Amino acid sequence: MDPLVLLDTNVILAHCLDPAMDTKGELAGEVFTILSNEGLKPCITESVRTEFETKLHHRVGQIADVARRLSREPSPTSDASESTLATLEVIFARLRKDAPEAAGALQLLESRLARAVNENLPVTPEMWTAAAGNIAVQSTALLAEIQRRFDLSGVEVFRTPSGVDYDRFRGIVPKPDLENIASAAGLAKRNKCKVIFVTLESPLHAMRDNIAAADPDVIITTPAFLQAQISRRRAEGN
Amino acid sequence: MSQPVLEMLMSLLLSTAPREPAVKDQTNISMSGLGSWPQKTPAAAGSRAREKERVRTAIFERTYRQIMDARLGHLPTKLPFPRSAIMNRLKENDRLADNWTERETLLEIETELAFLHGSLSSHEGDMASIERPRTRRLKTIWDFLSLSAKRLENLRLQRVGRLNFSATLFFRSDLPPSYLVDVGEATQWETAALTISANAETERLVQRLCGLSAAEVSKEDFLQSDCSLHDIEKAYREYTRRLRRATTVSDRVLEWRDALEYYVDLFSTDDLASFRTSRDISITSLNIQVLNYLTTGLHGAVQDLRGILAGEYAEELSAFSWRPMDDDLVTDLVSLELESV
Repeated sequence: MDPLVLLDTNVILAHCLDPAMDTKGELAGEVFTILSNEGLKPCITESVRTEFETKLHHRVGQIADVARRLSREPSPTSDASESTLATLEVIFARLRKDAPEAAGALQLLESRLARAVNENLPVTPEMWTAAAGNIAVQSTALLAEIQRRFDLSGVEVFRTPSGVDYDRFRGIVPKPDLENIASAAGLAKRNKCKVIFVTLESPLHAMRDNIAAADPDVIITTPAFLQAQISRRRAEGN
Repeated sequence: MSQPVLEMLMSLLLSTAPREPAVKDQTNISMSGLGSWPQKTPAAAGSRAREKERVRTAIFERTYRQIMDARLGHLPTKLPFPRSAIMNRLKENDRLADNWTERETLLEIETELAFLHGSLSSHEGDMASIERPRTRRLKTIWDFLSLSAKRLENLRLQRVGRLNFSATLFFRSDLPPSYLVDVGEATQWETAALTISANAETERLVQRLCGLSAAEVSKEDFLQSDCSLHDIEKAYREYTRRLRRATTVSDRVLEWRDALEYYVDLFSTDDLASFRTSRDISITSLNIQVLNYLTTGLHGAVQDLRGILAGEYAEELSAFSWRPMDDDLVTDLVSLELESV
């Protein structure tokens, strides 16, 4: 019997963000290629889907919040006593303090605005506010774009089976992964098959032996070993 | 038929190219639902001008009735002002808006659509016409499709403008960031649904009637269709039926989103005159449980819409993209942030 291959939230996110963007994206892309070649459907638990949507919303919300903070800062050209660049640095230092979670966004914004100042482009209050509004609105467009990729990824979502036993994995599985792993075990039991749970996350992979000890039907693996795991489980099934 | 409205027609399809991410266009006007184009056949009695005015007024009033009934009807709490006062304030705000001209154009288009659809739904047709019924039907369908595209483009711009307004409102508030994310997500999906379903159904209808793509077909080609009158009518009925199915779901997204936006706006002021104006808004004036209830409803409606698009319009959804091609830095910025989810 074929194993059921379930993907972790980080695999789905990496796949939907931009497969060509970085190593994680490439690894996630490999997972989909392997499954397609093996004639297996990529699946996730309902808990992974919820985590995917929640994390995306949360992150886009953080960006919107930074954009709001930015819009409330005075335009760097409004302070005549300081050079524009010096004012810009003060603003960004303050934003970093207030919103440390948005370091990437701030870095990119900072470089764009600093470049504009260096090139003597006017950083008017209108431009300042418009830039903030643009970031907020565009972040929701990117959110929808990632959701679109998810909706078209062909991933099958499995509802959490009834009677999932969380206690078996408590203390073994990191808390954020508990529901995903317990649901995977519940699906293995209900479908009477092995479940291969693919993750990009090292802490979860590090726990694979402990998880297998708690439930031998749940196999944690990474994209690098997925092909071999599928072959092995198929061989066991025959 | 009003010539000015029909003369400005360009294409049967809506553009799917990524838009300039401009924030300059803002609107806080009342929005019509996608599926609310006039589907009632106007009565034949009375002069054309008088009848047109009657239909126009009915369409104008319907938007406000929809807001009061279908959208504010989602609020699990009593309205803070009388219904009639809210409705009057919405009308006043719309009339004073910078883009009232566009709103009037939309009204003109929707009035024409009511007559065109009435004519297509009736087997009587214009008995005085010397044209064959088949040709007449094709011409009317062509005009209907062209006007629909124009109408939907107008609605799409309304949505973009409203989202920009919501961003401004959010910036002047201490609302949780999830507010803008929810409003933005719902707007992005609703406008995508508008473009995707309208283009797909127009394409299907044009292909069925004359075997050509809607992107290439000319009016002359279209009128050359060799389908029978029966087949033309059947294809048109199928078109409206399928489109109504999609727009019913996307209008539910609008209902919940408007309910959320109006809740925040209406319940954060003691003065109805400030309703629909850009002003400071404090979360302390609002009830978190009501906000949660409305966002739950909105999330459900968006999920349903995404399901319809992925299920019924998968091909068109694959070809659609929100990625703004003309502003790499903003794209990179957001992508980089999301990478660290």
